[in-house]
Parts: sequence; C-alpha cells; structure tokens
Amino acid sequence: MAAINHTANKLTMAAERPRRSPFWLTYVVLGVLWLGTVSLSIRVDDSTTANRFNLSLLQLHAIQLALALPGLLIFMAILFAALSLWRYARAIGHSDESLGFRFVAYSIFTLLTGMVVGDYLGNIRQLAAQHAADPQRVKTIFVIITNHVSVAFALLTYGLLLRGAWLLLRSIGRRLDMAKKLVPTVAGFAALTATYLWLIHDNAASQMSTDPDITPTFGLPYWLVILTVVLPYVAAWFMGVLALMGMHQYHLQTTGIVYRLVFRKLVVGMTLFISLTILLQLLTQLSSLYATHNLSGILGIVVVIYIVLTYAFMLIAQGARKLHTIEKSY
Amino acid sequence: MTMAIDKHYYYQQVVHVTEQFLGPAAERFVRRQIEFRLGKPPETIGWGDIPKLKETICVALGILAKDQTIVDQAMRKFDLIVKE
Repeated sequence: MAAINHTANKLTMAAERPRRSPFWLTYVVLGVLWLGTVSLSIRVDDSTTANRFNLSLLQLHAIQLALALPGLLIFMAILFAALSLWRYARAIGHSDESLGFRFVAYSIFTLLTGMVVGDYLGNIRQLAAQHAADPQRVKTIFVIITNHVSVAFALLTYGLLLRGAWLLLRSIGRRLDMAKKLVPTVAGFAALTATYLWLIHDNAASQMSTDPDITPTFGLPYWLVILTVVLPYVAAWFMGVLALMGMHQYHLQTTGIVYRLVFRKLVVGMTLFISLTILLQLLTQLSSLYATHNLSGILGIVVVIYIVLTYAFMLIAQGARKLHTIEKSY
Repeated sequence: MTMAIDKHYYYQQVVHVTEQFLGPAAERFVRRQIEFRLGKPPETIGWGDIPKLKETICVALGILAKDQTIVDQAMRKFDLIVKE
C-alpha cells in the first residue's frame, strides 16, 4: 500500500480537482421549489390538526418546518444522485453502457419531479379546501388527482429504471435472467397485491369519510380504485423489482474486479431506493389507516424512511462519482 | 505490416488485462493513459511501453480499490505481457 501512496501523487485524478459545478442552478431551482411548498403549508389553517394532537399553532408550524427540512435534504440528495449519474453517463458518451446509465438518471429525475409535484398538490389541496364551500368535496377531488398523478410518476420512474437496467445488461451482451426468480417474485407480488386489496377493502375511509378531519384515501368506488390505482401501482412496483434484478445481474455478470467493487455502492443504493420508495408509496396510499394513531408513531416512520432514503441516494451518488473518477483519471 | 500487428498486439494485451479489473471502463481508461502518459496513438504502443503503463495503471487501481492484493494481481499480469 506504501508503494501506491508513494506514487499516487504522480497520477492526476481530474475528478479530485476542485472545480465549479455547472449544475448549481438546478440546486437553486430545487431550493426555491421547496420554499414554495413550505410557504404553502404554513399558509394553511391547521387549527383542527393542532387540536387533534393537543398542540398550539406555533408548535404545529415548528413540527411542519422540522419535517420539511429533512424533505429539503432528501430532495437535494436525490438531485445529487441523479446529476452524478447523468454526469457519469455523459462522460462515457460513446460507450455501450452510457444509455443505460442515462435512463437510470432520468428515472431518478422523474422520482424527484413526482415528489415535488406531490408536495405541491398536497399543500394546494389543504389551501383550496380551506376556502371552499364544500371542503370535503374539494379534498376528495384533489385526492383523486394526486393518486393518479402519483401512479403516473411511479409508472414512469420504474419504467425508465427498467429500461436503464435492460440497456446496461444489453451492453454486456446479457438479457434479464428471471428463470430462477420468476416463481418467488410472482408469488411475492400476488401476496402483496392481495394484502393491498384487503387493506383497501378494510379501509372505512377508502371512498368517503364522515369525519371532516379524515380525507378519503381514494374517493372512488372500489372497482375503479383497483383498475386505476392498485393495478398500475402493482405493475409499477413489478417493473421496479425487475429493474433491481437487472441491476444486480449487471453487477454480478459484468467484468472487472475494481469496476464491480465501485458499482456495488450504486447497487446497494438502488436496492434501498427501490424498496423504500415502494414502501413509501404503499404507506402513502394507506395513510388514513394510520391517521388515528399517535403523532410520534407517524413521525417515527417518516423520519426513519427519510434517513435511510437520504443514505440510499448518497450511496448512489458516491458510486456514480467513483465510476466517474475512473473516467477522469489520466 | 508485421510491425503494425505487433504494436496492435501489445495494446490489445494491455486492454485485456485492464478489463479484468476495470470491466467496461477498461478500454477508455487505457486509451487515456497511453495518450496522456506516452503521448502516442494507443494502437502503436510497443513492448518497451508496458512497464510505464503497468506503473500508472496499477497506481490508479490501488487508489480506486484500496486493496494491495488487487494491485499485486494486476502487476503480475502485466509482468506476464513483458515476459512474453
């Protein structure tokens, strides 16, 4: 190792040189968008929520801000991961695997856009309901819109990710090998779908809610929820799991001991990203089931998911940056 | 013609060894090393260029992998090209 350290100075690693990022503007835009959602959420009259949890309005706003700050952190981490991957894909522009990495980066950009749009829709819903003659009706309309927008973003995110994984495998002359995993995957998804359907069926606030504090989860008849929300979500998650399998297969079957070592961080990050976003979407869909639980329980779940998800995107960014280091060393 | 084939041979050997460590990134990496360190077209390298390439490539592998075993393994493979 001493020999390496001794001669390391001779090697110029361009990636290690300090330089100004041309992408700083995207971080600024994201910060402004985040400020927009925070200001919207603070403008909402939350006295009923404050009463429900025995909090003053000031305490509630403090909690909202405390929850929004990790939100900014995760937005930035997602953007950092997407830009790092995109920058790497651009650096290897003429290679076979470049397009695969580009699609993975596009999928992360789509996830981020979906999260920002979801935040805005949620806050606009609260504001619109506050000024409406029939708040419950307005909330229901917004819930329907939000659910379908989320489904569309989930389909797009995992679809792009699957395309990326497929292109990466094609770059090493392989195809997604499902032979051994098909039965457990399909069985797992059948169980997940059945549980999901059972939870929705069992959810009293699925179509409508008599409690003005609880917004209906879907605001649509059961059969329409299955057709337009459940099935597309299950399809999106299935694509996400297939993409994950593809990434793992690429990691195992690509050549290069060091390349695989560097790529491992990216795969671990992607595994956490896919599983946690699926879990998050499932929890969001069934939010009214835990609406009656105590506040600390809900906060606990959200905080843990935020922390692990931020870590996942940092791992993806680290992996991509290390791959980029290979490309910039000379 | 024979000279051209020989020079191409060494380039291919270096790429082949590096691929075992850097996978899909190997060829791009080797081309940059040759162009920057040796200042010549990649396919024209000869037997005498291998030691210098071995040093720079192994240093880079050490920095990336932080594992001396991998560096030693790469050095042995480059030595084999020189001995051939």
